[in-house]
Amino acid sequence: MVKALIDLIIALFHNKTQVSNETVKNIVSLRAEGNISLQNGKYITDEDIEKLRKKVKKLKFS
Amino acid sequence: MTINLPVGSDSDLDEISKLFVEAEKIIKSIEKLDKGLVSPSVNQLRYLAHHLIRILQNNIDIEDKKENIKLAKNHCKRSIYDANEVGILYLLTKISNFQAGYRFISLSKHFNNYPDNLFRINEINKFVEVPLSDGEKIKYYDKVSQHYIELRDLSELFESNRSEINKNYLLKIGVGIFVTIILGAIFIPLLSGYFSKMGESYFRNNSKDTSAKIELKQ
Repeated sequence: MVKALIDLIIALFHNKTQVSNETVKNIVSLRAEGNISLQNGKYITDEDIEKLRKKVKKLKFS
Repeated sequence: MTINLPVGSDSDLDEISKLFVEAEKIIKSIEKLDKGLVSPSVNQLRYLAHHLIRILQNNIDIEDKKENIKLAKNHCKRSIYDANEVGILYLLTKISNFQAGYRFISLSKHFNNYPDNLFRINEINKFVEVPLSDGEKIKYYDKVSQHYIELRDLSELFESNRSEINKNYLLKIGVGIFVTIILGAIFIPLLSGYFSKMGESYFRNNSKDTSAKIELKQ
């Protein structure tokens, strides 16, 4: 679905249809935040997991 | 259409079905923690689908099907591991934030086995500190599930006691402020009286010295 959306966005840019650049920008920013296919969530990627692991590695529970 | 399956594969497929439900459950559980959809876990389920389709195909031999059953199981286990791991990492940061919020008070008064709890949390932290290999993730999928449940229960225990801890915390702050005000009310007038007397005597002595010097000059 995300891929389809990217294709759509690319198509919109190339064909210069009636959709405003602002709308396209909004869709792109939504995708960047990972909110496109989930109502209240986002995607957690391998990169996010490694960032979280680095953060947790520094923690000491005492 | 009849699908040729290896002998005894019914129990394997039952196991895959159970593992799939478990994976789905934990993925949803992590999503509800407001962390999002764990894409590595979802990817593992996609690979599982690929192997299940291979199992359904009649144009592959029984040995290949056996291999695909094994791989399907492994992808389910990987999916469970990956989702639980994210849950553990998230809960560790949540517990750390909880501790940081009460760093000036002793939490062991509020929780019976607090030192033991901390020991377990540190153990789990060590477990997820270094990423495991693919084979190890498959091997320890059940262990990581237990760790997640244990950590989730501890986090819920801590969070459920927040209001009680806050009450004591605020009470202590209130008592501290009250005592400071009382002590201030007693000592400030005393100190100001003392210093004003000191000042008076200093100026008196100083003025005597000055008048004596003036007399000497004359």
